[in-house]
Amino acid sequence: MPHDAQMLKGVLTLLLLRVLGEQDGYGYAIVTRLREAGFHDLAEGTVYPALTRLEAAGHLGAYLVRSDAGPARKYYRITPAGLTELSSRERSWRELLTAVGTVAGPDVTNEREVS
Amino acid sequence: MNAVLDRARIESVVQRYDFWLDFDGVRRPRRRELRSELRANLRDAATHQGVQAALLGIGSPRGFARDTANADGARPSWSVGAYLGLAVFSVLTLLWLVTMLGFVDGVQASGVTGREVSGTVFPWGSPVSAEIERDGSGLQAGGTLPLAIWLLSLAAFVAGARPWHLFGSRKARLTPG
Repeated sequence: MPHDAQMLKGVLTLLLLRVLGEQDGYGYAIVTRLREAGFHDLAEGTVYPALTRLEAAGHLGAYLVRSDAGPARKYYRITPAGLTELSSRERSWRELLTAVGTVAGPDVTNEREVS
Repeated sequence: MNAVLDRARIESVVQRYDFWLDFDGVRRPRRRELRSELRANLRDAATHQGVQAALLGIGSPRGFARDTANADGARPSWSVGAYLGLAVFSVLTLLWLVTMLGFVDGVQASGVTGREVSGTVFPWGSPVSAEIERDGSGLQAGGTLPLAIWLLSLAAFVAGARPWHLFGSRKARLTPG
């Protein structure tokens, strides 16, 4: 089932900061990692500008790595400001989950097997 | 052959992306970085999922460039300002010429010949003049381009270019790896 585009946009920054907090990566590799994590319908056209926005905001740094396959790849890495932003967004996300769970019931926010 | 065609398709999209980045006021060095990054990502994506899917992934170059330019921070769009300023200047100058012709028609209709008739035309207010030859064989007309045209063109340029974005825009920088 495809994800709601607006909801996905809302958490994209959190996802990107989390993924890059674990390991540096370049544009397409980051998209691939997110798709493998279950965001199959995530478009490159959404991710790349978000990376640019995070870089412009100082939450990500970047460096070039030569590639045998073609042009040098631009790798992103999380900055101290990005780590702070990540903590803040994770806290907000938990608070949102709690609030949604309070209204909609724990079944909505807890992961469960649907048979 | 296919590899060459694929590269050509990618390059075509990269160049269109660059055109729209330029339109959105992204400076040349930054555009070079963004082009290079997109090219690398597209080639990688094309290797894994095919060039068609790779190009579909970024959507239209126009929209993708706009999103990237917005994400990169607001900046003046000098080329947009220039297009807009020139368009307003051309249209207003044409309208002014039409009113000039109206003035000359008026002078002809009045039957005055052999001397210069001057005045101002609505709504421009700038001085214009016309003279019909005594024998009616020719005419001369002249005028000063109204200040309003220059001011409105300048206003259009400023509105399009948004030079106030020079202050407070943030720029991404590559750091050593």
